[in-house]
Amino acid sequence: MVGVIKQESNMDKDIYLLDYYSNRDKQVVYAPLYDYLELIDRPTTEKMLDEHHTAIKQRDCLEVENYDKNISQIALSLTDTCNLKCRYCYAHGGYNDGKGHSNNALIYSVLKTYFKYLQSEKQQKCNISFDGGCEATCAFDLMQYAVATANEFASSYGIEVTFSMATNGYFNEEVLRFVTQNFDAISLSFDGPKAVQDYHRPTVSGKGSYEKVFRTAKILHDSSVNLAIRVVVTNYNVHRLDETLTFFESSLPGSKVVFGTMDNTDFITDVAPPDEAVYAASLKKLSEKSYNLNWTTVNTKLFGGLKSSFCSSMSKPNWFVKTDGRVNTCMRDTQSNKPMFDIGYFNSDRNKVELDYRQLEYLKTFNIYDQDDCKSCFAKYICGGGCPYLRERNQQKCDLIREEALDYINERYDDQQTIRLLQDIFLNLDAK
Amino acid sequence: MSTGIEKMVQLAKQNQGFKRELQGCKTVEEALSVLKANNINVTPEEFTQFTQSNSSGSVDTKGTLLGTLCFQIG
Repeated sequence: MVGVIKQESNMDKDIYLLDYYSNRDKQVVYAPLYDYLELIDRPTTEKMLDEHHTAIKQRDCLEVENYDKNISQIALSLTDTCNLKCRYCYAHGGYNDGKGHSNNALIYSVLKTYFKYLQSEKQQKCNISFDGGCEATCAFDLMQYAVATANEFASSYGIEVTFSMATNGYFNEEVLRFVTQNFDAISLSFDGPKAVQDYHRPTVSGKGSYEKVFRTAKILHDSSVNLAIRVVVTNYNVHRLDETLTFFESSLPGSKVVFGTMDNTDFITDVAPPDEAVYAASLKKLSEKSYNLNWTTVNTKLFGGLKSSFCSSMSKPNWFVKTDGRVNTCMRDTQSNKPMFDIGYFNSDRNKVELDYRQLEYLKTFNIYDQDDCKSCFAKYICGGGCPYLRERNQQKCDLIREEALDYINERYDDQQTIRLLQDIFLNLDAK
Repeated sequence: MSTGIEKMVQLAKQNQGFKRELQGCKTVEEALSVLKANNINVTPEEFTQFTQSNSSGSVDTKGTLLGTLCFQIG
């Protein structure tokens, strides 16, 4: 059972009583804004609640993140072409038969508008990434132009610019040299062992991609570029995750490796998302071992605190610019037939990016304070109100989110108690 | 929390024997060698920092479910 136990008008707080799985005679008192997790007997009395309430009142209220302090990012989609035809990819070798490309006029206009916007927002740093479409390095001339143009604008506006990219790493030495010289961060899609990589990520002509991508990974690993390797997990490699980490450990020691499962989409294919239970069991086995790697999953991103929006697409929109000139704040939505995150477009007649400020304001309303069904939900600071894209399509899975959130809070409570016990043990050591 | 400290907390959660071993230690050195015997590397500085830290019910919420909910591309 989940419920608000007490609220005072002079104190902006949410306090919830949640199931405690390890002992059904107890409940967890959860006050997210006050970083408070303690147990209370079931059934509860007013007096017991008051004691917790008093303890909570003595704590400082935490800040709720709404992403408005993040560095604004812009993602330029340079091409609809790809040189790989990955079995699980939504693009599957490219959109629109790979015919769409950006162009110099569009890139110039978008960057000019973007830097003006940064200046009006008094921002001193920005990041330009090349993703949100297909393989950016397939349009290498456009990439070189974009980097040079951005550097010029950054210099004239006095703004520090960094470059990042999601890439498949299947490119030649000239591109590799350019990347190591100009890019700050690279997310490299690389599934590891040769057999997995060649099966998952063949070239458009059906050949294996392992040799070339491995070489890219090696060089980036040894360079100053901040490299993260993204491994997609499917039903094909879900049983080979230990082999995958062992491979990375021996060939690229100390690397950052991120597992993410294949999206369950309606295109293709001869691979499928892994069974969730099998995937969870595989991850558990990995966590029992030690690897000389910084490995994680997309579910355990390393940023802490509470949030009021699901992501920065609403509160401080990042811009994804498609090859056709549409400016959108959500990469997912760029492929949608009914886009809700479109905030502007490139007006080729006026050679100018037109922004829709009303839509920008509308997107900001997708937060936990403005969504009615979030107001009394204990999990709202965890999910930030959920993804508006899913909300609009009635695919928002609030029950599932609450279930996972409850598991998570229970686990955190148990961690807290273990930490306290260990601290007691160790403090006694000091006294001896 | 450092990786070693995190491993220690998780092992203590799952393994009563490990917890008892730590309870049986008399000095910090003994405790550190129990950790080492369980393949957990914690420096004396991390150990001291952990002992003195505030163990409130911190729930590191942000992003926990993002990966489950958000788009994952190949």
